[in-house]
Amino acid sequence: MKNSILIVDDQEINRVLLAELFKEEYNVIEAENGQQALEIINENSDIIAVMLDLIMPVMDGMSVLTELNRTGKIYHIPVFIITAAENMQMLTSAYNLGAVDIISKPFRMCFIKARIGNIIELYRHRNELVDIVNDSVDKMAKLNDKMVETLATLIEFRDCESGEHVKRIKNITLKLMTKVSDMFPEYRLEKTTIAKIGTASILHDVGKVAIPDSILKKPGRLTPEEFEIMKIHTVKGCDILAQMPEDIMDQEVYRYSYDICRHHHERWDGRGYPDGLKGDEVSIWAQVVAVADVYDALTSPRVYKAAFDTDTAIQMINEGQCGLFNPKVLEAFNCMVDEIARKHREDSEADAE
Amino acid sequence: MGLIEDIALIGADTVDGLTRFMDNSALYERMLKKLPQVIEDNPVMPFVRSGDLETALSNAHTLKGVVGNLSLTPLYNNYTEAVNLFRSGETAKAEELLESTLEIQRQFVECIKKYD
Repeated sequence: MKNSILIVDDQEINRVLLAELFKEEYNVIEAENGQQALEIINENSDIIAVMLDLIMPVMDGMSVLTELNRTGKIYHIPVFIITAAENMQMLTSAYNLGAVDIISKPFRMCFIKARIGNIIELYRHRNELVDIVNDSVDKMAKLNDKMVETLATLIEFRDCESGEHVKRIKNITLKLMTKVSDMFPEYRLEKTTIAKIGTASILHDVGKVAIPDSILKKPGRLTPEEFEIMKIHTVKGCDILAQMPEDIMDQEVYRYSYDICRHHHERWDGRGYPDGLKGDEVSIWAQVVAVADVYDALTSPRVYKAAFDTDTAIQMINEGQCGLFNPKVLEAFNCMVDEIARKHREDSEADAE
Repeated sequence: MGLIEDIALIGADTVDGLTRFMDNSALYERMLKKLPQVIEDNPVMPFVRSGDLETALSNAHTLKGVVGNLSLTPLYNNYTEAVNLFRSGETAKAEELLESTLEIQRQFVECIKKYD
């Protein structure tokens, strides 16, 4: 399939001349003014070059260039200015806005084809390289996520879990963090940041690797002494993360993991551990993981207890039976609890199969 | 004799024009036949006379590009000069040049219309 080039000029004669030149090699699309051009560019992802007149009715060429800059499209699509103007100030502005070359009227056809063809080829190679690099970065990030997930799963296995717990925590964290971010401007976060927090949440219990089996797998209530030992998994988790090679994971994910590891058992009223932090002294992501962790712990069977049904778990969380949480996080949790519960049921059914 | 030969007699550089249209004489003729409408849509002198020099310049600029691409050399030279005069503020000289251009422009238009 041919790629498309867009010719933008209010005069049909000028458009036809260029169309004639390129019709064999490309699918030629024509626009009579800047507004039409922008609509066409937005609707067609296969446009690989734009030939743009500057002086046109409705919307001129400079406005088109400005808009292509604003949207970043100028970095992917070469724009050639076609003009009869010798106005140096205007041409300089066009170059400054990212135009790659000036094609003067009257056209010199033999030169135009070579000049435009060369630059299209250059952009094609550049865009391919950008795709390859983005693809590699994406693969690295996925590999990184998988490594983190595998590490967390190994720890969960020791805790007699299937590894599904960490995946559920990640899912709940992603959903709840997004909801909190959408509902409360003071907790607003970028999507990419939320994705990193989701990955980081997987390692929240990494410190459990340092807890003896006799406590970790005890099929009954822990004694106060045993509970004190259990509590150190938060601090031990940070020690383990601190000893990891620096480049084993994304640095941002590392920072979130460290914070979540240490503070996912803190509570809104300061009665959590290990530092007894209060309110928003605890980061919002650690607060979100805390709710996710408690919900999943309540609704999943453990060696020391059966699973609670989702309604009971929600009630227990709202009543503060597992410690107090940020009311705003709870409000977001209650807004989406049906969705979380449905996903939890689906996952449990899948596990049972 | 055909349209291309006829406009050559008035001064068009049809060798250059045919080269630009990749020796496609039918396409060249088809585009030449659009010129009268382009001239009608982009009048210059009425705007000069009414003092709307911005529109006069814009239309002269449009015609310069079109007649250049059609290789109508006498018109192209005059519109190029007129645009330069407008830009340097020499409006009276531009007006005088455009007045003198009207006759050769009329000849091109009449010649083209004969083939419509």
